[in-house]
Amino acid sequence: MIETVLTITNAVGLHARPAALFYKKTREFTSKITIQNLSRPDTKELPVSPFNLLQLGVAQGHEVRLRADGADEQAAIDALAQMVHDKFGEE
Amino acid sequence: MVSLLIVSHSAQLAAGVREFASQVAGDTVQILDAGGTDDGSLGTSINRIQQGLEQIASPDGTLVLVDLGSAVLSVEMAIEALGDVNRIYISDAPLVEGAYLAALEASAEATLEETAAAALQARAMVKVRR
Repeated sequence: MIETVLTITNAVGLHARPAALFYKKTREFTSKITIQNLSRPDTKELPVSPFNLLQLGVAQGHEVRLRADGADEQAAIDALAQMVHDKFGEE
Repeated sequence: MVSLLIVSHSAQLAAGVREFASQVAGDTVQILDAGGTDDGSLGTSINRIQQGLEQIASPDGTLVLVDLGSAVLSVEMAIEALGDVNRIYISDAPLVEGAYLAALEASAEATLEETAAAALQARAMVKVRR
């Protein structure tokens, strides 16, 4: 299991189009991938899904912790971190 | 890719939800609206629903989202009239939240079952935390 903490810097956060792209990317891997919104202590670590992403309310400036567990965990974390870093091509 | 049909008693409401869902899903998911009666007043039109279903027909299936229960009968009649070979599910999810989740799920190349399940989760959605 590996994890990484990322700051979400794109304008809309993990909503709408970026949420769709993020979720789609997680489905390319077989590893179990979870996300926790560290900027909202009332939320828990959850598997990445459209519903969970919406409930986590990840906005611009929020810190999230991603965890991946499985055969392709490193590739999964790398790809997701890259998307966040690239601001989902938003700007 | 699974397609989505937005059915509402109001043409404008259906079009608005379609716009909202389309922005979530991008160009990859076929989403159409079928709202109002044939003359544009409040209600549903079997014709318009049937045409919508035909336009977005997909071998992966179509998920139909409705605003009120009374739209379901029209959708069922439209499906029957089509005698469609592709699978069509009617979602029991709330319209806006369900369309959002379904668009997100469908855009990730999910199956019709997965898309329908994602939409239904909208029933448990919490918007206000106090």
